[in-house]
Amino acid sequence: MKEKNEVIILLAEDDDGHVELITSTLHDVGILNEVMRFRDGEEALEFFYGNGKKPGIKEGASYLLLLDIRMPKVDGVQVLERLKGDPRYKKMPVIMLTTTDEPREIERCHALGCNSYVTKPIAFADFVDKLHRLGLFIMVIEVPKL
Amino acid sequence: MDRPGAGSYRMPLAMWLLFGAIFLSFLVGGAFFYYSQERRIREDESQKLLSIAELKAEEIARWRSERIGDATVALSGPFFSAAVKQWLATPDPTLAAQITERLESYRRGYRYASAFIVDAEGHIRLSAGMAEEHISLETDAFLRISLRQGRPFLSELYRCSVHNAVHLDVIAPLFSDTTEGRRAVAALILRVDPNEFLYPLIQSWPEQSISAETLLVRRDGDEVVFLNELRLKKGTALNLRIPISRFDIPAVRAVRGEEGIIEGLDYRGVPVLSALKQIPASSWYMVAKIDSAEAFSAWRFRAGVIIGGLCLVVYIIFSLMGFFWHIQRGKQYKELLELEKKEREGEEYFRATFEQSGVGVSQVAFGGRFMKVNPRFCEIVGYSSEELLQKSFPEITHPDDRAADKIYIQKILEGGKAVSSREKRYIRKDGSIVWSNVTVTVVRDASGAPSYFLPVVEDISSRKDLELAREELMTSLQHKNEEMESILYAASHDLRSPLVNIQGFSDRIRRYLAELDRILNAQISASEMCETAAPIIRNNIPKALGYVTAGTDKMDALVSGLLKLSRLGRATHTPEPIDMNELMRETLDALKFQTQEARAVVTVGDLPSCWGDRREIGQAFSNLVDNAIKYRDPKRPLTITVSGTVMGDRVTYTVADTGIGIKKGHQDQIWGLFSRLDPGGPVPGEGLGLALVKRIVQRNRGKAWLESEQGKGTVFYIVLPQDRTIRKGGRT
Repeated sequence: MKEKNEVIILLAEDDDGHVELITSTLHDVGILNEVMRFRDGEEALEFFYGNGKKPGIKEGASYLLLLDIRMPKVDGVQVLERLKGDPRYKKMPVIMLTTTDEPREIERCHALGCNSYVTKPIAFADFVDKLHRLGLFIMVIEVPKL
Repeated sequence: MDRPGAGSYRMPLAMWLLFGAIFLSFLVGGAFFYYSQERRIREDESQKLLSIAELKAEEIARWRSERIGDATVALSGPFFSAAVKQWLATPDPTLAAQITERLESYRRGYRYASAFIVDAEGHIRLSAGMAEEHISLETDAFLRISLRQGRPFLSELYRCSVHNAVHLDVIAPLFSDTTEGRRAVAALILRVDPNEFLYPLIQSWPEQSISAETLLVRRDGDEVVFLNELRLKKGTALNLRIPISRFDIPAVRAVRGEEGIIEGLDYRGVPVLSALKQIPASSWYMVAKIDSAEAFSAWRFRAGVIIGGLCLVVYIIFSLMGFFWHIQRGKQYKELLELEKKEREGEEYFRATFEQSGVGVSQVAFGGRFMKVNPRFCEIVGYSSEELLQKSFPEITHPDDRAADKIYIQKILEGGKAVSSREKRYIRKDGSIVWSNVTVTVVRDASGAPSYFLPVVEDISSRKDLELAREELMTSLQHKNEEMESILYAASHDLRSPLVNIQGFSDRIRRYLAELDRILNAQISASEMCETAAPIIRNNIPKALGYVTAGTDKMDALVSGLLKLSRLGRATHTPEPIDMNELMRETLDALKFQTQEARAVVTVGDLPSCWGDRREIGQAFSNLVDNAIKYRDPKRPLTITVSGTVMGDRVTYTVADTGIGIKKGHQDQIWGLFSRLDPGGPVPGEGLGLALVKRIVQRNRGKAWLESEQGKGTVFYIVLPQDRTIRKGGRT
């Protein structure tokens, strides 16, 4: 797993059940990377920018962001916009992981520069299947160091 | 058609010229006729006078020569001359008787006053009709002349001192031949009484006349002697004398040798026309004269006729002119009358149009004051005409439209374009608003300066109401659309999210069950089995079930929220006037428990009434107060203040709290459907309250927004339409 295992997975998701399902499924498929969870967009942005507190982000570490859209306070799209507009985080892979399959929403996120867009299917088998592939994706993706 | 100006009422110039020409030609012709007539009559009169003078002069001359002839004939007979000589030589009574008889016959035959023989010494020797013996001194003087001349001689008319009468003697000398030669020894004198023939001849006039006469004059030294008795003055014969220096008197000019027609003064000093003629072979001059007054009396009459005729013609001309002028004036008056009638009709028409017009018409002074208003305008703005005449245009204009009005009027005045229109609002007497379309015309005076405005006002309230209704419909459609979008969004995000959990954890439970089944079937000891199965049964399955239950709860909340929303959309919307004080009281009553529990102090001011659906508005305010209670700051006492103010035709209500407040960046988000800032926080809820408030306010044609500061509190603003029954003042 070499360097790739050093990638820290950031998960911005307000629903606890979803977090449980995502982390356990990823674990099942062999993604054993460290996972950091944020309850909403605001928490995620706090990690990157501090917003008065000390930013959680570490120099030299590699991050991959799994981003839900529908979150309180600051939603996923706002977070994506902010990060992709910032040269520092522009190259950090962001994968949208969300319930909606609205084509307009998907298009908007792609336009803002998300690296992948994954819909959470309701059928659990499909859900697992999607996460398997996501796991493979995470394994092969080049994640730059900050 | 030409408008009849003042000039066209006068008689045409051509007519004037024609009349003038006629008048002038009559004057000139009349004058010419007058003077030619006068000249002709003067010539006629003069000619007549001259003829008479010549005729008389001839007669007198002939008479004179006859007298000489008489004497010559008497003496030339064979008897008389010889008998006289013989008797003188030897006086014989018989012969004397014969001679005397002869003398008497001469006297009688020739009608002499007397006939006598005188000797050279002037003694009367023989006579017929004479008593005295010696002739008078005057007769003697003529006898001497006659004897000296030696031929028959006619004396002047003279006054005889013996008889004191006027005589004229024919003296014929008698000669006898002696040794000393031929010598005058006696003379025959035939004495003429001028009254007998001469004077009547002179005085006779061939026509009837009151002033015409003929007179005989001769020069005596420096005087003119009048020889005959005058017609108009008695005792003048040889008595009247006038100095020859008096040139103005025709007699004077006659003796000075003038002949022909002379105008001058006569012996009485009266103007006369006279003809002068010298009598041949005598010292006498004939003057035939007539008073100018009489001579020209015929002319005077004729002149009077001529002048009278001229005057008549002039009068006729003037009458004709007057007549034409009168006709012209009559025409002019008729035209004026017609014009006036037309103007009156026009005024009547204008007045009727003004009074009965279906649009509001007014006359507005330059300063904006009303000068005149029609009934329709009064009806539109709800004032009586008396009230309006005390007001000005801007006074009854909606405050928001006054500035635009000013610009509009300025544009009209500057642009010179007479007509243009704009839409504006008036404030009616009852305070309500009426929409109108106003077209202002500037009425300018002759110099082009604006004198007043003529606004035509059309009530377009119904059209405006329709426009507003359409706008409202558009807005509500837009809101509906937004609502659909938000529901779709919520459905795609929020409804799926719990399902993922239910499915996922149900699958987990199935797996746990499968594992339990495997454990049960495993060849292990009971204690071992318990040890393996216990965490699954005690922890994993309940935890998974917990997610499933939470998911279904969430689903239920979401579905009921959606139902609430859909019910709001489907419920009959019944706008009506709302007494907000009453509605607020009811709302707070329903929330009494929560308010008391939170120890909140709620203050409600006097709230103006509004227009909307009572149930919906009640729900919105209930949600706001409920939110204020839910999101209170536990560290501070909560006060909720509700107030309201009227602004124009809208009412603004505020619900202010001293709660936790909302962060600036999150203030827009909170209005969203199923949107919650702190889902895991202490306050339960499904993110529906404010979304409902927003929808309710929109449905009731209002607006909602908030101002908040984190840690201090939030103020919600709700703007709603004012109660229409107040707004329209009961107007239908």
